[in-house]
Amino acid sequence: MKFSLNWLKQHLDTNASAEQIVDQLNKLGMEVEEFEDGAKALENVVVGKIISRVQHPNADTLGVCQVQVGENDIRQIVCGAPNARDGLTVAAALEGACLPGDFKISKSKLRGEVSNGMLCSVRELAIGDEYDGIWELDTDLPIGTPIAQLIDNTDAMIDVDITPNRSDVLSVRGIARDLAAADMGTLKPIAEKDYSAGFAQEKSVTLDNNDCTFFSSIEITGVKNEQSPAWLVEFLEKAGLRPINTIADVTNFVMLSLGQPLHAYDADKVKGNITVSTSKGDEKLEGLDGSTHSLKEGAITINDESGIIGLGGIVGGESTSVDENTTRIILEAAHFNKTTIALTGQALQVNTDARYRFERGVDPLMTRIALSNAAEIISELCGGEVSSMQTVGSDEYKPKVIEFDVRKMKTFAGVDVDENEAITILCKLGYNCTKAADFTYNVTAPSFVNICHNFADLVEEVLRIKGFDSIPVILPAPSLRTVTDWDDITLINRRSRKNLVALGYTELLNYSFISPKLTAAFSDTIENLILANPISEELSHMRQTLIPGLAESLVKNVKRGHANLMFAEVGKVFAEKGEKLQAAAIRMGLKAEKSWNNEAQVASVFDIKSDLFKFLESLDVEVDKVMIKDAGFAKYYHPGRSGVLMYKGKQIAQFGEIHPFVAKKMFLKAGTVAFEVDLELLLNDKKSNNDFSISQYQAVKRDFAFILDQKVKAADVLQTVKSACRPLAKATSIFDLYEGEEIGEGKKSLAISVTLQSDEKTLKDEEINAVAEKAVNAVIKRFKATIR
Amino acid sequence: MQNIEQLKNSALELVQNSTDVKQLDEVRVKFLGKNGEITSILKTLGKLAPEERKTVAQTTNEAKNAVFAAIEAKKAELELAALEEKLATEKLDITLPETPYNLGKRHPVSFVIEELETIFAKLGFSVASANEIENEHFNFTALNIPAEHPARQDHDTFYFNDFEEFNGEKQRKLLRTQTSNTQIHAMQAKGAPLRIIAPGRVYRCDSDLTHTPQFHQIEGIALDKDITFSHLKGVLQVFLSQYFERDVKLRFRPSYFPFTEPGTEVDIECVFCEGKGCRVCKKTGFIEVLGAGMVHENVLAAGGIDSKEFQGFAFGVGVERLAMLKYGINDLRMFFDSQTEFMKHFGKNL
Ligand SMILES: [Zn+2]
Repeated sequence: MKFSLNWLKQHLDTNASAEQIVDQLNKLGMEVEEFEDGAKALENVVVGKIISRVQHPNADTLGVCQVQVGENDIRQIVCGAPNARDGLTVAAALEGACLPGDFKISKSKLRGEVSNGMLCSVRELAIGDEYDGIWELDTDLPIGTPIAQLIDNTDAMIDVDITPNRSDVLSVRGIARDLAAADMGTLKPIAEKDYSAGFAQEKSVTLDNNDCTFFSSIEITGVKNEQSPAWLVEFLEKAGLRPINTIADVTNFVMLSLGQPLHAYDADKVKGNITVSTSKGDEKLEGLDGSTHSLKEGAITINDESGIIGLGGIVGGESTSVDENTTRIILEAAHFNKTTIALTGQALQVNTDARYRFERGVDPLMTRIALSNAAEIISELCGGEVSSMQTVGSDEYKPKVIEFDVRKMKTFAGVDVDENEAITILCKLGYNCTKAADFTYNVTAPSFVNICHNFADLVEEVLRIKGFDSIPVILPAPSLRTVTDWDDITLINRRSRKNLVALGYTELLNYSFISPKLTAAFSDTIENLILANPISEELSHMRQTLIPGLAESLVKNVKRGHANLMFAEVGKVFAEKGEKLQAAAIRMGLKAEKSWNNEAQVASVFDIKSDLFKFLESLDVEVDKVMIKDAGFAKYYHPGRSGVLMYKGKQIAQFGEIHPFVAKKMFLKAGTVAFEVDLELLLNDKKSNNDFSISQYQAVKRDFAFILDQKVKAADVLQTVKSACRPLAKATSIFDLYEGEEIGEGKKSLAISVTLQSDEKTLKDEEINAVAEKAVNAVIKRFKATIR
Repeated sequence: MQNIEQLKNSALELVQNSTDVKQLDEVRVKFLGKNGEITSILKTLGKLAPEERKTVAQTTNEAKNAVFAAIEAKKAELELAALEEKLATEKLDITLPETPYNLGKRHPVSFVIEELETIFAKLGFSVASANEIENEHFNFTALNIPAEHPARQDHDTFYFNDFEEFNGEKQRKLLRTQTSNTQIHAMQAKGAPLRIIAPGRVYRCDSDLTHTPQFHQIEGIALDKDITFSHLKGVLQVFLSQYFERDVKLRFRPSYFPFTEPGTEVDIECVFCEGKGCRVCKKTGFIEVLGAGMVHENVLAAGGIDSKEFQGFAFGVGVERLAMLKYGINDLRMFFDSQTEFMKHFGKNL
């Protein structure tokens, strides 16, 4: 809500400065978003006289002026105005001035000539619109007089943000009323002109819709609807409204002044009488806003005998609009149900000042005042004869009685307020308070307060006036619940982020939505994961895995010259039914940057597998219980270079090379590897405290090499060796893999090392040999292997 | 006897003059070897008269020990010299670059969330979470924002063409616009008394220089029999001071959120100009950081809490904003742009 200080002062009698008012507005809950103080903008701007003007040596359009700004104070000012001439009395902005638009004046050089200020036009001082050169002042004005003294009412512009609960301050008068309650001045009385002696209106109004509870109207005949006078244009422009014609402008002016939306019909365009009724749907209205609205069932319609001529409380119709030929009008000030207005406005997506006010709430007791006020101004500006006021329905205000225990100020807000003080504040704000019992009052809200349901609303009202600063700052006592319990998902979320970073990955936060193209490349398109109103198509499908976003991040960084990258993310992924927390990592390029002592090694699927296992181990997964399967992974993984991990019967992770086809489609480097872990499957995986012991006896190593069929899986061979050597096998590893001519086609050689150790004794050679033989025989038997 | 003394001195001299371990060994053999000169004397002791034997034995043994000790000392000296000579030839150019190593960086937003979780843990707040795809009930209706409420439109909500049954009504699905949905879920799950915070992603259909369609919030709620507005002030004062690592000056302004009453907006004294007024704070000296208030009784009711028995406060704070203010990040959009350079500069170490 934008208004000028002078407009405010039509309703508020105050000596407060603009700055004090701005400060108080903030304290009252009207956040000041913009404030331009006209008086301040004229500081350090004084009356001066051009003693001489000579042509600037380096610029044809500039002149170098010697300007007298005080008795013995002559300053050189460079000026480009064509009317700058010897002997002219001017407005000179001196060093330290700050003109409207935050334009600071300081000593400078213009094309090599020193300039100690600026000669101003009225427009530059924001006191007028003319811009044909600098302001020419009366020659008899004393030199050095501050310009502010010449302007009787320097104005200030204030723009406040009004929260949806404060419909009472959606008008200049409402703001004045609130400031007056906070002792910032006195609210001026408002006169309601009595039109009861006027002629009777030609048209009748019928209410055929309960959502319109009150409809008041005045007819004015013989008006001349021309352009508004300058003062009105200025008020509206400062409030951010475009002037249209006098009648339309007055309705807007009164709405902004008093908060009641008004509408003017060209009475000669209205066919027959007026009825307020309900839309049955499938009806159309050509609106004043220039668009055609398709009405939904339930909208409040204003009708004449030809059909719909307006959407009550939202927008008027084009067919009955006032224009420069209008001579007879019907002025309407009515009351509409705020819920219906809100729902209709949302459905039609029409944003008007009327809707804005009606859906927040309009003061029922202001309706008649606003109507007669508007009629008075119109008849003053446009001439014409005013009818008597015609009303249908009721504007009676029936407030809800709230029981208010003033001790709530202490027990709810924590602030010590004297009983009298609290009640005095409420009364100043227009509340009616009657004592019902000790400390307890029956309170009713004034008609302009829209939201007042319970004691908390009253506590807020008292606090607003007393100031939130009066509330003490106290820490709550520790409660028995002070023991912090972070839920499991929070814990695994935090640990995952840190542990991935510990593994060398940089943590990213990608968008939760991706493009349809990317979705199609990685997953099936799921209808209920598509946003109905996305920012753009690129951000329209909820991600089903973190991998596409990570892959896209790689591509983006490669484009900027990066080559070896490790990215990870922990975040929600979405499925047809529900969402879950996933951790994922992706890497491409070299394992480490190429260096003088470092062979360039490309990160492979076994590197990502290693990262995956280290990551799982860091989350306390018992990795020796993890089983690997080489099938069952998503289609965006390489069919031969990928796998899934099974843990306690659940598929917890998948990893592998990104499918070359997918990689190519998104310009991702072939060989990029990734993993993803379903973190929610790792919840409640409580590890038992296993017995801990260190064997006192020596460990020995035995190495074997087997020739096996190529299809035999390494994990199976290791498992066989391990079980054969149980319980002595402490560790196994594969230290060589060979495939080649030497051992024949379709075969491979695996060299396995097993570490044997007993917890009870030093192993004798015979025992070791026996175990080793058992292992060898088991492998030979199970895989038809031969010893190499 | 004199003989022995001479023998010892000549041995010690030879030890001193040895220049390598090999020479030293020769000296050892010559005097202390099986047939060494000192050893030989000891072998002949038996032939001597008993009195003489005793003194000769003593002198000879002393000589033997002295020579042995001298050899050991010289040996250590020579070995050290040899090692030093060898090491002198092994000098590397230690200014060559170190072996490359990948060091990961934490995203500043997730880092700040953790900082805040830690601060609130000290104040007795647990952490809770909720879904990002919500329905209208939990994102709006339960938070005292019915369908016709003007605030619904201000939220720039992302919707799905998908509905679910809830409370016997068809509820449209949406991306939550605020972490406040967690308030309701936490109240329903844990009841009162309650002290939780809930960090998480939220979404608004808005994108420009200062808005991204996704961002993060932390929601907080404290309910008990006697929690007041002044406790809200206390908790926020501690939280913001701890986070900014200084005694932050706060300003509470009346404001409005449908789920609170009274509601407040909280400003901190500008961290860039210390309240003097600058570009960042638009010359006001204050920067808005969060919204808060006493939980509305309708919200308590939606969470299944008896407002006659329990009351309390709630607040919501934008994580990106806090991160930008503390760590000097000036472009919101960079948080979700995945640029290596940004992460190297603003990413946090473990
Ligand atoms: Zn500042």
